[in-house]
Amino acid sequence: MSFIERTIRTVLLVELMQGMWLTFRYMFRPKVTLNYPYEKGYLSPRFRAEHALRRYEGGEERCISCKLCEAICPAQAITIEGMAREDGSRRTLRYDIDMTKCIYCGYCEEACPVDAIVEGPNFEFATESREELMYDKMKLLDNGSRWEVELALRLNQDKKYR
Amino acid sequence: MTNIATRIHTWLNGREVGADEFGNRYYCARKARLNGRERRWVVYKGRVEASKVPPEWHAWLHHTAKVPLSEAAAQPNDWQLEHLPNLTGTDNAYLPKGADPVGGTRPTSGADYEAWKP
Repeated sequence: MSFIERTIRTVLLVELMQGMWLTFRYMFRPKVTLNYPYEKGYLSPRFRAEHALRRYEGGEERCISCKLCEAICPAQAITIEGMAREDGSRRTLRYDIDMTKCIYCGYCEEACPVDAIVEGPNFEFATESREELMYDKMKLLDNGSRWEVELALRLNQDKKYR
Repeated sequence: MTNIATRIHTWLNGREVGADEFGNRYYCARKARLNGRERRWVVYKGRVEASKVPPEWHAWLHHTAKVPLSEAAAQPNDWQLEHLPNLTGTDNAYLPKGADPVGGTRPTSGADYEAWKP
């Protein structure tokens, strides 16, 4: 670029005008923003957020303490201790997930042979303190019994691809 | 409190789809679409708090389901519980057993170690 051309471009603010023109054109494009929290975006049935432990329809908890999720967890966020219940069935004594370690990869859900641990659709579980994110078995089962309607729908929508 | 722009938008374009048991009302747009999808939104009862949407409407609001799951939610199993919003910052917030405000002690686990005492 010659000296004269460069000087003209500088004096006439050509680059600035090009940028302003682009901004101006965007005013007439369709808007892509969502009016959160009133309006929310699309979530796939595979979307992975807050964990939940599911139950069978009769109310029996699904988890059989096989520890496959604990073994596969790349962040080692899951801690399980198993035991035999009074009736002899194998259950977890403790099932802890450290949600601050979790990377939401979904391997626990894939590893689970009985669809017990799932990653639900709820991503609005931010907390004020760190300790509230150390989920124990009670909290996970509680999530499962509150979100079951949608968890079942998601598993059903995705089952032909599993 | 719903902000004024959302209220005007609801009044002009909203078609009421239903309401949940907590009094939140759900709307979809008569015409307007966003990124190829129908516009759906909620007008909260009381405080505007995103986690107040129960799962049967959550699926609809997030376009995971075409229609709200009110039918499935109407016949819950006896172990299913009512939806709770995010309770963090309130007295009812979840705390694990070992947290200080609830005593600071937890049942010992197999992962615990015994400190070396020389």
